[in-house]
Amino acid sequence: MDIIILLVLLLTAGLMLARAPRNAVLAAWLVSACLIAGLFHQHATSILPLSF
Amino acid sequence: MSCALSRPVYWFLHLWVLAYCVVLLAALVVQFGLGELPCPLCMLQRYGMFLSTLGPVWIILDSNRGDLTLQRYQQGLGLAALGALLGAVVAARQIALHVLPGDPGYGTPFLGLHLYSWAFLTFLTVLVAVSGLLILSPVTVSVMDRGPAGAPSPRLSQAVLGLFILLLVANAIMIVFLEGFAWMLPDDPVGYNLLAPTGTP
Repeated sequence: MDIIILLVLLLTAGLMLARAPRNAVLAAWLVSACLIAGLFHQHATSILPLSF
Repeated sequence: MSCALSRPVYWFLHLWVLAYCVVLLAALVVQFGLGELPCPLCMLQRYGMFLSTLGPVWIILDSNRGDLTLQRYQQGLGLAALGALLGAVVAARQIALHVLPGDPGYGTPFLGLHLYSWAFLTFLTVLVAVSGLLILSPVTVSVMDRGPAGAPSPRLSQAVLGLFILLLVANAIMIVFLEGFAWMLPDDPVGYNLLAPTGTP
């Protein structure tokens, strides 16, 4: 998942460098933001393997 | 309608990108120099920094090409604010995990604060900076028929943007080694999964 996020971030930067249409840049940025938020949600709600 | 940034704002945006490059470079130094592997929340904060910095990078790129519009300037700052907000939430979560008295925290503190506390402060700083830039935009951004093409100092501008892209690529390569074939990073990483798989999910 982390690999995908960094690839999408790289893609977003690439689109900015390549003067891609505004909507393409915004869409790529939004996808990476959603992936980050999703991964955070997964980490924040997963059960920790704790034992007392 | 094109627009032109005042020189102080133009260089402030470079300083912003450079500052985050230094922070991200320091994170890599801690990782490879001190051998402290980043936890999943640490990595999420790095992503927040990248996400936030893409905003000023977009503004700088368009400004250098003479294509900057007021709309793009505001969109770039909006992306920066949203990215910083996302990063701040992650950093706040990690601070909350270690808030109990006696908890040593994760990693080595720097100047009395752990890296996630510093990250939280940087995200807050970005939010304040975005607010300031938007408040000052009637003074610092001038609208015109055609923006001035070319950067005031192209090499310096390209060097700052190049460093940012380099760090993005470096982190992408690093995460392949750290995560390996696992779907997610382990909560407390002990090694690089690609080199020595630890059987994490």
